[in-house]
Amino acid sequence: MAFPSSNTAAFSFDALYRESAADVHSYAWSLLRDRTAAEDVTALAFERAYRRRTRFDADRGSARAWLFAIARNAALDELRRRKRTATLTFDPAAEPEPAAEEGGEPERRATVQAALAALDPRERELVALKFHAGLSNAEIGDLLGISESNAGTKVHRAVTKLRKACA
Amino acid sequence: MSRHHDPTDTLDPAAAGELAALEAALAGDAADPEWAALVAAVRDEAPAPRPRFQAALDDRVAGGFPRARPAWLRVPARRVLPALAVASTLVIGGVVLSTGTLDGNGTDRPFEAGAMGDASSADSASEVAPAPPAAAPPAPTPPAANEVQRRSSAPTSAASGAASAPPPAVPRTLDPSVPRTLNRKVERTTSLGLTTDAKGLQDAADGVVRATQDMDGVVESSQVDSSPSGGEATFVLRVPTARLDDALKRFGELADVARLSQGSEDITGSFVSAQDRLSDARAERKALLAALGKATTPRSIASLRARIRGNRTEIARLEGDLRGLRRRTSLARVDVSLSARGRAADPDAGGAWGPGDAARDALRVLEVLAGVALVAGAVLVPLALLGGGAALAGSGLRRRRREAALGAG
Repeated sequence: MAFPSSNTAAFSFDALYRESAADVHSYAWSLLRDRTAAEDVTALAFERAYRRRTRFDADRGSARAWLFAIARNAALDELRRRKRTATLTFDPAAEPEPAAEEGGEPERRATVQAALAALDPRERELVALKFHAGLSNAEIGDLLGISESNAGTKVHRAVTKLRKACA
Repeated sequence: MSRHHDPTDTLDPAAAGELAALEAALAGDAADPEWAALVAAVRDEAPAPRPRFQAALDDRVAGGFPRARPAWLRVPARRVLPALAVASTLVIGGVVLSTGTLDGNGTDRPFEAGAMGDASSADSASEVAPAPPAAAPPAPTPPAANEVQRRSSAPTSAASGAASAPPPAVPRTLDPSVPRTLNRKVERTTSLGLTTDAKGLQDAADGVVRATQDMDGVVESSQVDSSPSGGEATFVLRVPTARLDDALKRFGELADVARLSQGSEDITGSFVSAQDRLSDARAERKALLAALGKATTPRSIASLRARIRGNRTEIARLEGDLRGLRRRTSLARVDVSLSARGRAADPDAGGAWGPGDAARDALRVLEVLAGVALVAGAVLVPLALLGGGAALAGSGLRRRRREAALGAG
């Protein structure tokens, strides 16, 4: 597949797309818990990023963090638009278990799903930003408008709760 | 995105150690299998993009996210064309109807016919007023007036309007008692405003008088007030109507024309009335003289003589009226006002456009530009502040709503 060249951008949009598409989708799914909505948000996030690619400023952060900021806004807008805030109250039965399709460990995955469901929505988003987006604490802090150490504290708290629930 | 730094906000060393282990596991370099299992479990929990969606998104990215055509552009032409045809027909019909209405209201064409047509033509005048009123004498725009207007250095809009508009030669309401075959008697009046510099005021005033005399006209009144800083002069002139255009041309050569307005008044009714009354008086005189020849008694003779004296006075008065009316038609009234700009003391005044004038003009331009910028700033700055504030408020509100959407669960 040949992607259009993006000479004006300070980064390679093609490379960003290739390395981030699945992660953006996973992040959006984590927030929305709806595969179709996650796909819509993923497509919208990449389209917005493509149209704004000339405005990306590498001095203000990585392209990946910038992309996930766009995806976050798109996902939150989708949540507002669809009045589906209730979906953030995690319901393990809302989606088919991908693990079952992929032949993973059903018990382990059920435990993880239950642990995620026990998290606060904001904590669940922090987990998604850390596990799916792979953002550093500084980037998460930038994204949420908090300090790096504060972001680290919040991430640590959410992960600790997740670990305890999984134990 | 803004980062809020808080120096007192430090991460606990134990927490930092666990986060470091997590980062290692996320990077695929976990020393503790528990962290690696947790990362794998959480990551596997989210479904992968469906192949169909992935392929469609790949195509959109490859195509540079082509924009969809607006809905109104996607309407088939066969649906749009009839609507366009109807709209075009309505527009054309409206234009035709409005044009017909304008042509039929009798306000424009008759005016042109009366004002610009041959004044001696009773037929053309009958178009102006088909009923008893007869043709009006001509009052075409004097060529000299046009020439004068062209020479005007800085005519005001009102002046240009007055100069360009044809003189209302034909009064709208004509005396129905006037026979339509009679030549119209029209009195023409002109008001001319001239400007010159202070030094040239007296020369221009002398030129006005001289030009009037050259045209066999009469200076009915004049007043010249001059001072080193300016002045003005006013004249009431009578110029032969036949030479009015030449006179205006001469006046226009004396100074800059700032204003020119022309008018005319149909006095045919007054003229015919005076003629009729004079004829009646003369017929009465004849009858009185005949009666005096037949009178026998001293009393009747004295009475007739007294009536004849009164009749003679009446005839003299009517003849005077008639002469006055003839004079009004043969001599046009021209009111000339001559004003001097107050630049007599200016050493640069009166000469060609020089560096001083350029500096003044440049300063004036800068003043105007500064004024425009000030007015624009007075309007735009508050608007920009309001817009910026609204944008900030909107951004903050949007951010809060997004966060609220996340936290509502």
